[in-house]
Amino acid sequence: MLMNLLQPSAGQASVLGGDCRTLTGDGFRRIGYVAEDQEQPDWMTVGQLLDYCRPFYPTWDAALATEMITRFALPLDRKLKHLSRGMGMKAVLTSSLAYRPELIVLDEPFGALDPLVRDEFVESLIERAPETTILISSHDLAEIETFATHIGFMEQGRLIFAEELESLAARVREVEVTFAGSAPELAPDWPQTWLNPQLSGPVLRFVDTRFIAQDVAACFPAAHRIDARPLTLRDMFLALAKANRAAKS
Amino acid sequence: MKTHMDQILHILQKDLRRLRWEIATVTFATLLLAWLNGDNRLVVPVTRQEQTLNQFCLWLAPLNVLAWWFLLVSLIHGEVIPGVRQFWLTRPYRRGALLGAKLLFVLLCINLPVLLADAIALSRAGISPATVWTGMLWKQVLFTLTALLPGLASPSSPPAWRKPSSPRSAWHCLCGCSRRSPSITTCLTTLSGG
Repeated sequence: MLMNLLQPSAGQASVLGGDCRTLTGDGFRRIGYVAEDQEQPDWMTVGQLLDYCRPFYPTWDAALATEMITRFALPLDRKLKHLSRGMGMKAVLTSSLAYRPELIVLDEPFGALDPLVRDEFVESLIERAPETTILISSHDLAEIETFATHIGFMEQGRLIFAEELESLAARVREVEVTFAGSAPELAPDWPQTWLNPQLSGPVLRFVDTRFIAQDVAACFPAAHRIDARPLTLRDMFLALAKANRAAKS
Repeated sequence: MKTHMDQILHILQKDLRRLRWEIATVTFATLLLAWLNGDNRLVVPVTRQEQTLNQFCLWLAPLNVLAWWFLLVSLIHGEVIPGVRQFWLTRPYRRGALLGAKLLFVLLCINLPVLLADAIALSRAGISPATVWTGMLWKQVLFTLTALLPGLASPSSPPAWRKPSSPRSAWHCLCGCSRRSPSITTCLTTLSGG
């Protein structure tokens, strides 16, 4: 939708300062788009693909293209349809980075890539990070977590949150409260930011999406011990998804 | 690419390279058919050779139309409009330039060979093309409207319909179907007078 491939039924989004619904033609000179399922002119060789793309972009950097070809060991004379998935993605990435776009949009770029290719892929992206904004749409949360600076969470077309990974990691915690005896009944005015409560003997566990240690301690004066540990992105996603599903049912 | 024309020529060049074998096949079939159709002896064939050539022309004519269609569909399929996964949708293509490139391709690779074929057929039949050039141009207009436009509309068809338009389809269509027509070898032998 951000690339104006689909029309929104509601809401709005802007890309590089303009309404995404007006993004066409020359607007794509400033954007590099790579998607796992995008069709490519697979009858072309890698060299032909780069030669074909070059005149479209006034900012094409031949030296950068050559550097990426060397780094990725791309065979210039091989047709795209004869490349492995990983090599194909590298070829497309080269054709999308060589003109130094201001925005790089990657849609599920890591699917079916082996770990080595992923590393090379991510490495070349990180090198571009100082001069460009990189937006990655992915379900591969473990991979994203290693280098993302900001995280947005979308569910059924709605942006649930978007913020810096650091602040997200600081505010979303799994809290484990241990009582001396058995845990008390859950109060009906249980805060909405405490998700997926689980009682197990004297231990109460939940995910706090607005964690402040003093607030939690104030709510459980009889607690013997309170531990809060950070969650991985994957665990955060699971907690939010489970909570949303429970709320709907 | 500074101008629309630069982009038109760039896209056209790419399509010519991609479809070069198909263009060669279709042009050859078109010119061969014109050459044979211009032979007055085949209007009322008498000898066995003339009958074979006449039969070959009857087979080749509809196959030629099919080949034009396949060429058109292959051309449009390179940058098909419906869908969200096409390469060109997220590249700086100007729609006007894309349309211009496709139309120029049709003019160069279908209309022009057909016009040339008409001229050859007329010359072989003893008529000077210069005396009937307006009629020839009108025929091109009608030909474009009736034979080519349905092919140009094919990208809006379901994807499964477009599958036969693989790059080698025109050739396969001509070769595959001609198995049931008089063999190419027989016809070439007849043409060479053997």
